[in-house]
Amino acid sequence: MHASIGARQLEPVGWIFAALNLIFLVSAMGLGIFLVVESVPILRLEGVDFWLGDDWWVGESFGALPMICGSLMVTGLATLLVLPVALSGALFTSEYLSPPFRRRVKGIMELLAGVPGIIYGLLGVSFLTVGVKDALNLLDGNTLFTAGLLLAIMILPMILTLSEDALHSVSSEFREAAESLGLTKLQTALRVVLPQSVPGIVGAVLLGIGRAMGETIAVMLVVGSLDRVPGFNLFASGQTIPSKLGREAAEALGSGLHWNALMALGFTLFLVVAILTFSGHLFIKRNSQ
Amino acid sequence: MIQFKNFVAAFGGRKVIRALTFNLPANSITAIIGASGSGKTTLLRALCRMNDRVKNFRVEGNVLIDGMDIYRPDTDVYALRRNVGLVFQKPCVFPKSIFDNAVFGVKEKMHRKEYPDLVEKVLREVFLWEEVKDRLGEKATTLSQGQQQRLTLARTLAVGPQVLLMDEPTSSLDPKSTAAIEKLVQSLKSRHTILWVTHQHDQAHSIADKVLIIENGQIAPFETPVARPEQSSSFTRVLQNVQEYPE
Repeated sequence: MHASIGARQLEPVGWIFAALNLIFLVSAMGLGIFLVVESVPILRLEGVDFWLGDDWWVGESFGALPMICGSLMVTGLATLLVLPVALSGALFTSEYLSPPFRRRVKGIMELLAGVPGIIYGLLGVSFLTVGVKDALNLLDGNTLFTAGLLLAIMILPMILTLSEDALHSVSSEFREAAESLGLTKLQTALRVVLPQSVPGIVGAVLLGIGRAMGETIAVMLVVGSLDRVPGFNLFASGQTIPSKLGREAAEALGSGLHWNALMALGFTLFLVVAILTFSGHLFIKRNSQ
Repeated sequence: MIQFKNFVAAFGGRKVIRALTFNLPANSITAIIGASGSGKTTLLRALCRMNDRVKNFRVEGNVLIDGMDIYRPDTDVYALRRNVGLVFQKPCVFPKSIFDNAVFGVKEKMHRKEYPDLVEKVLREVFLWEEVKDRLGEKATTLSQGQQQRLTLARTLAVGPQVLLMDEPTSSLDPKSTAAIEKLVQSLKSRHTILWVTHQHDQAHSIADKVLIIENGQIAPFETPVARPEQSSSFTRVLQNVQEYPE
């Protein structure tokens, strides 16, 4: 009797939760639809050349390839740089640190993961561009490499702490079973704990990549903002989708095709980040089951 | 032979094992019975030094296996654990194939070509070969609880331990699987020194050469099992129904 009354009383609350969830869902869909609608004029004009063209001259042509290449290179470099550090750090934190030290490291990592991009951007401008310029004897320290390095520093805490969560969630029964067979702590970590954490680690990396892909201000400050296909030269200035949007959105607002081209860039980024984030959540969910 | 000399195991100031002194003969089965919290599992884990990383765990006295003190500072703990295998209460197979589970502990110790022979040997030892020989590549988690427990025992045997520690290995199994494990342990006695922790007095008396009663970290004198047909164990009760596990 009480249970049924309770259930009836909870029903309106459930509807409120459902409505709130619907708002988020509609917002995400609305954002996607808005980007598509705003992109249609430029996509109709340029067709697939919008993504394959390498010239971006306002009023003449809009080719997104330099920005797409820049985003992929910077994010790829950041991922390559961050993976070994984040994984070894996560393994060490999970498997070797005592619980009190682990909690402290986790707390610091979670704090760093929440630091806004502009702070990292200032760090990049102050130290990284100068450091890269001097160390590599370049004319300009604002390069794709600098941006990748900065993004690696930015996403390291997030990937490390989420990967550590995945490693730590592996049941201690498996560790004990492995150690009872004479495996060392390292062998246990590498042969038992790590393989079982792969879905969670992949999810963490995908979320980190998603953040790196979408980072605007920090990258904008160090990437050099040059619209050209960088080839394989990481030590040249370049451009990413978010940095392009950050630089030109305000001046392009209401200016016709220029605005539509930026919206199409935004739609491209939205798609990539949405796919990555969704995949990351799926992997993390799978790991927690 | 395993010798305990004034052996004390404690967590901080709380002594779980109190000044044990006794010898266990080689190639015998010793059953340890006692109430929950009496120190049975601590005793087993102390023998393979699985509690080394437990905070505040400390030992006093000596434990000797074939005359070597396992708590000497220069003891190779990993070698010790290969020599003293531990089978847990709940079977814990790795989420890998049956084959990979069987050779898990020896993968860095022998050549890949030797794996198949070893797998067949240890799976035959635990009477599992006939049941799984056609599906060695399948996930070990698809096996029944009883089969998983025999697989964990095979995995331990593959490492080549001299001593087998069994921590209530049948507590989560059905009677048929329990009987299979009990029979299996009897067959292993000739090659291993076995310590079997159990709550069940009838099981202890039916399988063990010696029964050790442990209370509050101390042992009562050795009990020699006597034939008590009226108190038939799960082994004797069920064995007549279990014909599919060949000698």
